[in-house]
Formats: sequence, C-alpha cells, structure tokens
Amino acid sequence: MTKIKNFDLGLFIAWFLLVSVGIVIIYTASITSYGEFIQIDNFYIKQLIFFMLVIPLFFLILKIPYFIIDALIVPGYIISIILLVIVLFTPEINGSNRWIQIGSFRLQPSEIAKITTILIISKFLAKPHQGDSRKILTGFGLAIVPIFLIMIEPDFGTTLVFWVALFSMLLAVNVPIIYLIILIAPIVSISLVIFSPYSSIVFIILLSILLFKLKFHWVIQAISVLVNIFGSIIFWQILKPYQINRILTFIDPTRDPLGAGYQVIQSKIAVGSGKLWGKGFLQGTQKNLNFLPEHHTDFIFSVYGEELGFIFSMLLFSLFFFLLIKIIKSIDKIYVLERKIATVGIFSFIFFQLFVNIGMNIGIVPTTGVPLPFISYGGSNLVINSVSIALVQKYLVEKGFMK
Amino acid sequence: MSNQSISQILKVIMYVGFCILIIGLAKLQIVDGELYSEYAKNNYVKKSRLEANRGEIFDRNGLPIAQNYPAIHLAIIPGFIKDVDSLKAFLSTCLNTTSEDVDKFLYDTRFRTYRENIFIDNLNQQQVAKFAEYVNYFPELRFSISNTRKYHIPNHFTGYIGRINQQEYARLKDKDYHYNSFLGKTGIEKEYESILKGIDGVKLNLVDAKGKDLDLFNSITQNRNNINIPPVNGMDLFLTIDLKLQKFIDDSFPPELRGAVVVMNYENGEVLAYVSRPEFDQNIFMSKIPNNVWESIKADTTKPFLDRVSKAVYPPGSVFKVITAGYGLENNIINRWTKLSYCDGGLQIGDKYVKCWNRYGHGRLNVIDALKVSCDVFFYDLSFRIDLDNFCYFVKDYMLSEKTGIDVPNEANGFFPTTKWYKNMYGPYTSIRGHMVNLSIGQGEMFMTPLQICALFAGIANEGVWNKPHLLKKAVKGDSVLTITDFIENLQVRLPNSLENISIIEEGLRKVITQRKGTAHSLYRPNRNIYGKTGSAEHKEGKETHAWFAGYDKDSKIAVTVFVQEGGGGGSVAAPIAGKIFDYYYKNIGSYNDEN
Repeated sequence: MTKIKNFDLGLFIAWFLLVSVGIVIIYTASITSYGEFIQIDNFYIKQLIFFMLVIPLFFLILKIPYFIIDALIVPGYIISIILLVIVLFTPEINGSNRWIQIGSFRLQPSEIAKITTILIISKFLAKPHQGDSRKILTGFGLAIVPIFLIMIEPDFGTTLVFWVALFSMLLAVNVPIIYLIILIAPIVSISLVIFSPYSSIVFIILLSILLFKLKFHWVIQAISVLVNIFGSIIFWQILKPYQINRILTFIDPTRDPLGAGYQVIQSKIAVGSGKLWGKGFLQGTQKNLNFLPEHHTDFIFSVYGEELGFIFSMLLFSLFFFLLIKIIKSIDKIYVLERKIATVGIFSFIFFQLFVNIGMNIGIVPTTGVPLPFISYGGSNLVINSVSIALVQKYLVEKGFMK
Repeated sequence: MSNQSISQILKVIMYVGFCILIIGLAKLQIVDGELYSEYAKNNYVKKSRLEANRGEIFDRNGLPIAQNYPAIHLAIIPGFIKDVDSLKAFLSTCLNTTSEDVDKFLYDTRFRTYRENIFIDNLNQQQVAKFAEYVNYFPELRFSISNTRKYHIPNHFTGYIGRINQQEYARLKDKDYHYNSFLGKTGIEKEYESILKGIDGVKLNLVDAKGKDLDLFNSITQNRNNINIPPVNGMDLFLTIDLKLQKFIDDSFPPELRGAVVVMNYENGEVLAYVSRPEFDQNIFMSKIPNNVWESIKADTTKPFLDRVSKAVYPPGSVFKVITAGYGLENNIINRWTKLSYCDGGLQIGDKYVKCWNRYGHGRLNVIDALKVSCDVFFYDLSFRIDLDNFCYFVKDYMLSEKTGIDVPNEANGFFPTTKWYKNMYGPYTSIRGHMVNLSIGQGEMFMTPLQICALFAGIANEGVWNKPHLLKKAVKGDSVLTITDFIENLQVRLPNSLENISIIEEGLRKVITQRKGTAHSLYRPNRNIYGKTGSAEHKEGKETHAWFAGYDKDSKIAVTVFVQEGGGGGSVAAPIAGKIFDYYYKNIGSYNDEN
C-alpha cells in the first residue's frame, strides 16, 4: 500500500532534525549552573522519552490504512472537545486550566484539539456542492466550540492558532477573501481602538467604502458596519486598566521591568547578548541565573539565541524553512481536496506558531503563550506537531493510491 | 481562486514572515548585540540602595536640634496584594487608614508594583507588635528599617522632612532621589537640602532572577559580587541659633499670646533665636497624622504653622519712626535741633484733628526727644515735607519691604506703598498727604516682618552697615567646612544714613531706655548700653494693638525684636520680654559667646 518512492525523505529528516535540536536545547535549558552549583531538571529526559514514542507513532500513522484515520476524525474531535471540557474542572496550574495531570505528565487538550479540529474542518469543507456561506458556517461552527472552550481556560494565544488555521483552510476552498476580510474586520477594528479610537474610525469608513464598491447586499453592509462600530465601542469601554497596561507595556517594556514587561526584556537581553556566535553551549548567563522562569517552554528560543548566536539561529530558521517549503510543495502534490485542505491547515498552524513564538522572543510580537513547534518542551505539543507532519507524509505517500 | 494559488499565497506569507524574523533577529543580535550583552552583564547584578545618612542639625554650641533615629516603617509591595479589601480592613483596624488612603497609594505606585513602597512611616511599638502577628497573612506588607528624623525643639526655622511626593519625584528622580526618599519640605531642611541629603550609595550583589543573593559563591567569584559604592553622608549643619537662648525665650514668652521674637548678632547677621508663637511640633509629620488631629490643627485659628518671624507681615507702628526720622535727617529737612509743631495731644491738619498717642501732648520736640517719647505729632509734621516715592526708595534702601534673603525659604516681602499704588487703589484724587501722615508713624498700608525690623535695628546698631540675617554658621563633614559665605554673597549693605545721622537716631533710641519719660524705661539697667524703640501698631478697629519692641544691646552686641500680635502696648507687653532676653544673654551667654 505504501509507496516508498513517494516518501518525502527531506520532510522526514527536517522534522527529525528539528526535534533533535529541540532536545539538545531543552537539555541546556534544563541545566542552570553557577560556579560549582549545578541544577539539572529532567525536562530533556521526558522530552527524549516522548521522542522515542513519537518515532514509532510516525511510522504507525504511515502504515495504518487511511480509512481508520478517516473513521477516527469525528470521534477524535468529540474526544478532544470532551477533554477541553474536563480540563476546565481540573485544579488550576499557574492560574489557568490548561493541563490535565496524569501521573508526572501533563496532557494539554488544546494541543490535541488543534489537529482534530483541522482534520474535521477539512473533512466537512471538502464535501462538494457547498456555497461560500455554507463553507464559512461549517468552518466557524466546527472551530468555535474548541475556541470558546480554550478562551475560558484561558489561553488566548492558542485560540489565535485556530483562527489562522481556519482562515487559511477557507481560503483553500476558494472562499473569496473579501468575506474573510468582513469576518476579520471586527477583530481589526477592536484591535485598532485599543491603540487609537481614530484609527478604528478610519478603518470602519474604509471598510464600508469597500463593501459599497463591491456592491454587497445592503443588509450585509449594514450588519458588518454595525458589528464593527459596536464591537469597537464595547471594547473601548470595557477594556480594563491592566489590559491597557499590558498593551502599553508591549510597546514600552521598560514601563514595568519586574512586571508585565519582564519576560520580554529578559528574553530580548538573552537573545541580543548572544550576538553573532553566541555565548557557547551551556554558557548562557541569562539562562544560568534563571532570569526567564519558563525558558524551556515558550521562551526556549531565547536560550538558543543566547548560547548559539545569530549564525546558528539562521541554521534553525533554514531547517524550519525547509520543512515548511516541503509542506507547501506537498499541497500541490496532493490531489484529494480534503487532504489538501488539511495540509494547508497544518502548514498555517505550524508557521503561525513559529512566527509568533520567535517574534515574542525577540520582542516584535506581544507575549502570547504559543510554543515553538518541535523545539519547546511539552509532550502534547511534540506529539501533535509530529502527528501533523506524519499525516502530511501519509498524504504524500498515498496520493498515488487514491488517484 | 485556483488550488495552485493557495500554495503561492502561503509561500509569499512565509517569505515575508521569515524576512521579518530574520531582520528582527539581526537587529537584536548584530546591530544591538553589544548593547544587549552589556545589559546581560549588568542584569545579574542587583543594585540596592545604601541610604546616606541625612546630615544632622545642631545649634551654635553643638546642641542637637534635629537628629536621625532608626525607625520601623511599613512598606507595601502592591504586586503581592491578593485581596485589596481585606488589606484595607486590616490597615484600617491597625492604623486607622481609610480606604481612600490605600486607593491613592496604589494609584501612586502603579508603575512600581513589585517594589517596596513606604506606606506608613514610623510605626510605634504597639503597631509593630500588632503587625508582627498578622504579617504572614499579608505577604505584601514589609517592615522597612531606616532613619527617621527627630526634632528636639518645636520651631519654625528647621522645617521638616517628608517622603518625596509624585511631582517632586518626577522632577528629581535623575538627581539621586528614590521613590522612598526623604526630602526637606520646609525651612532649613529645604534650604540646605543639597548638602544635608548626601549621596546614596549602591550595593551590587550577584543575584539570580528571584533576587536571591548568591553570596554563597563568594569564594568562587573572587569577590565579584561585593562591589559597593558606599554612601556619602550629608553634611551636619551648625546653626547660628543658640538653643539655650531659644528655649529661654520660648519659656519667657507669655504662653497665651501669639507673636515672634528674633535675636541677632548685629555685627555679623547671625540669628541667635528665631521664635514664632504659637509653636507646633514638627515630629507629627514624621508619622501618619491621625485625621482628627490634622483637622483640629487646620481649624486652629491661632495658625500654629505660620512662621511669624519671616513669613507673616504686620504694620510696624512706632518702631518705624526711626526710618522717618532718618529720612528727615538725611535729606536735611531737619537736624538734631530742629523743633517741629507743638504737640497738644494732636495736630490740626486742614479740617482734621489727628491725635497723638498721648492725649496730654508732648509740646515742641526735636527729633531725639520725639523718638524718646514716640511723639506722633513730630512725625506728622515731618511727613508734610516728605515725598512719598522718594521715601519709598529710602525704605527699600533700608532693606524693608523686600526679602532680607535669610536662608529660610518662602520669606515674605513685606510691603510699602507708592503714589502709583495709592492712585490705583483709591482713585486719582486720593490725598497722598493724608496717607503720608499715617505712614510716617508706621501705620497704614505698610507691612513688615519682625525679621526685617530686627535686621534694621541691627543695621543701626552696627553703624549703618546692615548684615544679612542668616541661620547657617557652618556645615561640617569630616575636614570640609562650608560657611554662610559659600551660599550667600553680598552679606552686607550700607544703609542710606550717614554715620552722623545714625548717631543722632541712636541718641534717641538710647533715651527711650535711659530717661524716665522714655517709652521703654523699664529696660533701664545702670552700666548697660541698651537701645530700643517701642511700637503699638493699630491694625484693625476695636482690636488690641500689635506690641513691638526693637532694640539692641551694645555690650553683648545683639539686636532683639519682640513682636506680640494683638498684645497691647509695646512698652508694657513687648519691652519686658526683650528685657528678660537682654538680661539672660548678658548674664549667661555674652561671656563665652566670643569664643565662637
């Protein structure tokens, strides 16, 4: 069944290397040493165990017949929803309900929901003879449930991943981009109103001109503009001072160097002080003195940048670039619409997480709790990202069979 | 949109995304790399402030006036607050703070939420004991042990210190001030803030991110973590004040009366005593003032906060007559023998009869006798020959109606009118002559501080050389000594009277004391050279007059001015107080003072 000649070795190697680099970096992030004092956490061992589990899983996915995976999509989606509900009733960890503690491991249902939601949306979007509005409704209907559940965890960053994946998949099924603009518009105007109410007004005026020019039905025009206006006004009024503070702190982290801006500042210092060649493996001072409390998860790139410098960061970027370009190329090679949509979704969610994570590590994107795919410590994250790559690999391998 | 194009779109987005990341990373690591590695080096070094000791304040003989004492303050780290309402409730039961106090505090400290911000100064023993019991429930509360100020005598010249406020902090944060710094708010504390404050030191510790000291590894790091810049303590101030004299005056001033007493060394302008009554205890500002106490102080009609020596102005009354006499002599309107109109208890001016203070009259007098008995009629008559605007300049040359420049901030100007001012106030047809009559005896629209009067008499005593009154004798730290000349230039001014004319005035002032009819004959001491002038200034219909006495003692070289607000007659109320001061100083201090 599996045609080895279609197996994309490059994709596999890129994935393998990235996870390996991740384990090496988690190893250095696990060690904080000062003089003769050394503290070693066991994160890298745990990650290694997951890596050992993931490699057979990768090949298992390639081996099992596709209809089994197809049959698992709907139950998988339902199970992940159930898990997202269960997680809300577990004890809080670090002020939010994101993890289900099982023994010494933590399961993160929102990670599982990422792939199951992408798969179920692509399954339904791929059905023939759907109008654009039906496609949009289907996509939104399926995405909104996990998004809502993750919102109340709360984990704002992860919900963004869902939105990005959803939009890219809708684009892939030829939904006109203007519809998506109309749908995103309220978010844009709300974001703008935080910075300046005037920019939001300008945006809404531009939007209504655009809608008028494109000769939309007046009901759609009216609803769209009204939603924008009310959304902006409501957010303008209800935004709490600490939220405004958080945004302002993003613009100028030095406002509160021990509070909200702390991580951004410390991360920038870590990465920046790495300069061209880095401080050397295991030698990061920022890391060793524990300036970034969570430097093995979301801020792992700061450890990488500090110890290995710009040149090796470019190497890491090249690996990511290679992996992502492979996925994009496979989009054109896959002919089954459902799988093509799924691949688009997988690409978007990996790329978006990569961009946001590194962006926040170097201080050009606000701090959101998004991990660096394949590199950050986290079993659920590693498994789900790897499963996604395995699925793309499987689509490639089996394209001849389905043709 | 074809399926081909979705991959194109994603590709473009990816290229752009990578470009942004590479540019951002290059900026951080290559362009700003040097800067950030500098940050990284400093990052694991925690700076903590070593507070400099504020200079202490002593009198001229080294008796303490203001000193530092260690005290326990209550600090709050707003970022650690779990439940604001329970904190408010707790603080209000322990310290009687209101909910608004806490809200205002939290608002003020909103940009330093993870720092210790001093909330209440100077906790007393019971409060500390109460807190110690509960402090575990409130991780945001911290005790902070640092200096507080204790003022040994209630007075108006030292002023007091207080925690820096928002505006001051915004202005001074680059000048070595901390958001918990103390700052001189008034008086000497404010005037000499720059030398009292000292320079805070810095203690550098190698720490981990939680601020935990890594002293443990001291041996490994070869003392890298013990780089200290020690604080430079402030300079101690020795004031010209004589604390014993100050206390004596405090005790001898009638407790129920308001007023001011200034004693100056007329040869150099050193202020020996600076008493304003009623007094207030500055120590109340060193901890939280209970609201009811604060309200009662504010409602006090005697205005205890008012510094009556240099910040309040009053009509000088008859003590001003020396100026009128000086003007007459200097402009050759009169000489020492000139006798002016006959005083029959008043003077007929046009259709008005203006009374002298003595309704039995003084007869025809020359200037010396007019000063002696303080005859109003002599000066009324003299005033007809005086041009108001010239007179105003003359008064200014006598350093009246302008700041003396004493080293206590916010001194009052005093006031002396001009023709223009009268025309503005009372219209163009007002009779300047009528006003002039009033001004000639120190009444009407002129206001002076007791300090100005004292400096004036000191100038006369010092043969027409006016010395700027000042409170700083020296500022000392180790071997370095600063004196008043390092802070104030032009300490001396020549008064606009010739020596000859001054001696004529002095003759009058001497007769005030020596002769039986002199208004302050009660001060007569055989073998002593005391000079003086009394005044009873009317200021409001139906109120007691302000009692003034201004004079000097040529033996102990001090000028004394006593002002009793609404006290009555200068000769009967103010002069006896001055007499006690002359006697006390002559007996106790005059003898050893010369050593200093």
